[in-house]
Parts: sequence; structure tokens; C-alpha cells
Amino acid sequence: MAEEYIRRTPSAHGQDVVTVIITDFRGLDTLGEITVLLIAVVGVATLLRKGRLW
Amino acid sequence: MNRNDVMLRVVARLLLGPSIMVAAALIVKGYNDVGDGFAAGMVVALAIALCYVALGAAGVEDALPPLRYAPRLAVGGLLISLAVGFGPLLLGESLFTHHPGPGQHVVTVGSLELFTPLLFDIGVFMLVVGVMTVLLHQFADPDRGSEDFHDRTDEGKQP
Repeated sequence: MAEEYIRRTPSAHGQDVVTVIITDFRGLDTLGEITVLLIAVVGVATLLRKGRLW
Repeated sequence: MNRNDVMLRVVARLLLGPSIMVAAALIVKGYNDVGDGFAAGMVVALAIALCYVALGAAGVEDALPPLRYAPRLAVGGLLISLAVGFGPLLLGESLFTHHPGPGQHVVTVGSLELFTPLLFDIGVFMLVVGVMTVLLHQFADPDRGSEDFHDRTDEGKQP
């Protein structure tokens, strides 16, 4: 699996395997992670300031 | 915390500009070298956090009024990333189909490659900066803006 990612990195127009995996091969995981970040902020706002973000 | 620490305040103010430059560099060369949207966002967020430590929440938000757009920045970043991720579904392609595809020509400006993963990275960058700023704002000054909450509890105590 790891060798496959490294082998296919140039076909995604990049040389940095980590960035290519984050934004391209495993992009859906990254999208889930940043959604969790935003939900965490909404949770903090709900607990501290009745849901007002600012 | 000594709020009259001149050194800390000067450094915090001076670091903001370079941090944005470093973040831009991390995004531009992200595909050919170390760095991506997460790292770039954290660099800018740490500079903003240093400003919060040095100047206090009210001081920073007076000195940098654009900070109040942080929630919109975060939500906008998520929407950009969602659009890049799920947009190809509308065109009948699978999730996260990036353009131009493998083997096709990519327009480059210096080492900046103009393709859809770059847009996704910028969305992640915006979200990380926005989320960290909102969190700092919430934790630095949680009591401001909750007066009506106290009013209501006071009313409840009266017979």
C-alpha cells in the first residue's frame, strides 16, 4: 500500500507524498477531520457563550 | 501575566507579517516540498495566539478588526473544501476527482501549481485559521456577551 502511494505520487502532479495523500488520495479523510474541527468549535461556543461564535 | 511586557508585545506584532509569508510559502511549495494547508494555518494561528497572549483579547480585536470575520472564514473554508470534494459528483465523476487529471498539463506560476487540490488546501488553511481564532476568542473572554444569561438567572431568584 505504502509503495503504491509513493509510486502514484508523480501522477498527482506532486513530489511530496504527505501532501498528496492528505489532499488527493485520502482527501475524504481530511474533509472529515476539518468538519470535526468546526463541530468542536460549535460545541465550545454552545458551552461557553450560548452558541454565539463571535 | 505582565501585560506591560514591551518585548512580548513588539515581537507579537512583528511576527504577524512574516507568519503570513511563511504560510503562503508553505501552501505554494506544498506539493513539491514539506508543508500543506494544515501547517500553514497553524503557523498563522500561532502568531495570532501570541498576539492574544501579549495584548489580551480586547486589545487584539481592537488592533485587528478583521479578526471578527473568523467564523465566516472557518465556514467559508469548509464550504470550499466540500465543494472541491463533492463537486465532481455533479459532473458524474467520483468523489475527490481532481483536475487536471493524471498525465494532463498543469498551469504553473513559479512553483505554484494551479489545480483543484490547491483550492482544497486553501479551504483547509482558511478553516484552521478561523477555528483557532474563534477558539482563542471564546476561551480568552467567555464572559463578554453573556450578560443576558446572568439577567435571566437573577430574575429566576426573585419571588
